[in-house]
Amino acid sequence: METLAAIPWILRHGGEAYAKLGTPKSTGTRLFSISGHVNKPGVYEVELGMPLMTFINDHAGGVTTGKKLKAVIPGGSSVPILTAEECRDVALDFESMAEKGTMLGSGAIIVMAEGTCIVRSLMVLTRFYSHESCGQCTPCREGTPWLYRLIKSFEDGTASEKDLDLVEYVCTAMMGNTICPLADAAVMPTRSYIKKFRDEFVEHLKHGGCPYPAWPLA
Amino acid sequence: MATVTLTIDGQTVTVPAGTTVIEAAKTIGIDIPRYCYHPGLSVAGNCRICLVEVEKMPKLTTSCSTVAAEGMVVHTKNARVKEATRGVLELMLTNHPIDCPVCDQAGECKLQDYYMEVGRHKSHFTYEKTHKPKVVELPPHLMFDGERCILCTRCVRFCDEITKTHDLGLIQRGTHTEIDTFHHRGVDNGYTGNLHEICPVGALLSKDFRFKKRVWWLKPHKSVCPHCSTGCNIFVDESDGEVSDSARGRTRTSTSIGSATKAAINTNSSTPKTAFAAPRTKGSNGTPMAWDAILHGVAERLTKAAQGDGRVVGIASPWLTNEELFLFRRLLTAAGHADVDFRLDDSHTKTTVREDDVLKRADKNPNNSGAALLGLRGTKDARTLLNEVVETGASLLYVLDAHRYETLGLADALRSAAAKAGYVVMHATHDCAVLEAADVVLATPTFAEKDGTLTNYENRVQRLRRAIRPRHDSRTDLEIFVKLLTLAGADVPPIVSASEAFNWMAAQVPALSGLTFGGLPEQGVVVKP
Ligand code: SF4
Ligand code: SF4
Ligand code: SF4
Ligand code: FES
Repeated sequence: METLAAIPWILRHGGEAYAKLGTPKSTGTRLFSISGHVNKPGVYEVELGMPLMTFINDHAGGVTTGKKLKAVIPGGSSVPILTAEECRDVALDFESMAEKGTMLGSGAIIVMAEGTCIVRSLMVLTRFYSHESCGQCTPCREGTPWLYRLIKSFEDGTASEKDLDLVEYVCTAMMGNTICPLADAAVMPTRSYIKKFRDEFVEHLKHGGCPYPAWPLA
Repeated sequence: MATVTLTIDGQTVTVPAGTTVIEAAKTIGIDIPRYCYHPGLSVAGNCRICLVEVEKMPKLTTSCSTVAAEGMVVHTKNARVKEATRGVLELMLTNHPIDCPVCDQAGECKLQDYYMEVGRHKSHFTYEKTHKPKVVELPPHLMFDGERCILCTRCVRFCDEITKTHDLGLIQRGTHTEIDTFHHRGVDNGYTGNLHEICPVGALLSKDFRFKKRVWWLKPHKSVCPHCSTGCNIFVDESDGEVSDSARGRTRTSTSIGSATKAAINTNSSTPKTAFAAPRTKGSNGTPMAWDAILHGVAERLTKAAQGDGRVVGIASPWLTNEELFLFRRLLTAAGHADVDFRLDDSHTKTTVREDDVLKRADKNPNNSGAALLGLRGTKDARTLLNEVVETGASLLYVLDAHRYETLGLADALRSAAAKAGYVVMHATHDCAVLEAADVVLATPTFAEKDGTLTNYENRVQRLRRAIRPRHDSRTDLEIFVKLLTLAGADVPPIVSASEAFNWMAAQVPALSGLTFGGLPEQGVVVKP
């Protein structure tokens, strides 16, 4: 659909003009749907290569109620998360995202402001993947609910230190071993959340559960 | 034929183009674990236990669904593969009840096997397992356990592709996925015995065999299913040597799935569920008598008949082995001008007729072909012969497998004929009312209790093997005929085994010439009548 939508513009202005948009390797524009803690969530057509922060601040109205940015999921829930620090110099194009070890994916950008519980948001994500698993193949059918329960145990205060390694162990058993990419889609965010926000998981362990206030966040 | 050459675990192997990696590995003795894969079914690739590493491919790949390609370099046992296989197995067991102590599959369970081979010995999973229906009856022959099910869908594919009855399907999704039937109805597609056989775990089990025996006590005996003219190769699994109520049947060739269900359902029920027959004479008022005395009496009658004392009528049965049929004919020849036939009904006209697209044939007897080939066909079938006896009488009426007459609707005709015959001999495995009309009842064993050969629809001569010792005071038809022939002074060698009988018969029957009992190949040999 997105591709088809670009055709009238290309017909009117010519392929060359379209190719000039974007970066040398990521040409043209893309639709991004931005949601979460921004003032003007919505779907935007953006020239590839635009710095992420420019998009968030100048187009999506900036982070809600002037809060500080905490993290961004740049391309749908299945891609590795970016920390606020990483967001500073990343642009909306394929190469730039790849450099940070993540992807533009579906173009669904989720913005999280300071005060968002990373563990809880991962819990929501893993619950989603566990629910979405069709159950056809073993690693995903059995792995996604296990991941969800493990992450939930951090929120509930029932997790122990070795559970962080166990999450990685389950991820290894799932990653790349399934019929379709749904299992990978659950593993990639899980791994990145723990890698980049390990402190917060440890904080949950120390606190015996979630130290953040209940929903709604922020 | 186009071929491809690849390397598996350092061994080079050449296979026909189109062969999957799992099959290519098998040809060089490398056994890759599998649950969902079955050579007789389409590939599902869902269990993921068969993962292997193919060089130059970024991810591990399932060997059951990967076609071998020229120059492929495959590793089935390196550290990466082992790690992945263990991971898959651990995941598979997270929601498995592991109730092996009460599971009939224990001992021949692929979960147990691979767990011992590659599994982890301590599960990391500490949560409550997903609960699903257990102890579900799928009438008439199956028991289902949803928690033991690993959702490999072999059973679903079997019902879709082999029987085409589509009895089973998947319901729910994710961790709640279950195998079920439409509105929980049963599964009765005529091949349910194969369903619990192809289930790699203890999820689909035989109701008859339930809690009967631990499988490691069973001893497999290669045999042939007697329930139709197809003559599928089966194992009769038996325990206790002597008598076994826990015997079961299993298919013998892995690629011919869908065979032998009836035998698989219950090896013991090949005959009516009445008491076994006992040897007796009319004068003994039903009390069993010593075999020697009875056989001497019968032999005397045969000798008399041979001396021209009226008409002799013999009716054979397509349930007897070739050796027995051949000897029966010889016996009647010795008794003089006898009328003989084996046609109890019109089943012999349906010997090659298929009943479905799977395996069953319309002729529900194992040896109509053999009886015809050995010349037991006369000019009149059983009913006509019996009616003739009613009209004109006979000095001797000799009937085999009389316990089948009730179901065949021939019991009344037999009774009327017996009333007119001078002397009536009946063989039977099981007791039944019609035996009262006999002067002599000779008890014979069931198919699982004797050796011999059967000839199937395509004139394939195959071996039947004794799996259990006779459970009642019986003599094989073979033993009885040899003894009677000897007592009657006929020129018959002192045969004691089916092997001797076969070799002796083969020397006299042109179609069998050159064959020996011991030399019969595993899957029999097709002969030209
Ligand atoms: S990986 Fe895909 S096919 Fe396998 S269970 Fe998950 S959703 Fe189904
Ligand atoms: S299927 Fe039965 S024997 Fe196999 S692991 Fe499960 S409980 Fe044990
Ligand atoms: S019942 Fe058995 S054959 Fe069917 S899906 Fe479950 S494990 Fe596989
Ligand atoms: S045997 Fe290959 S995926 Fe199941």
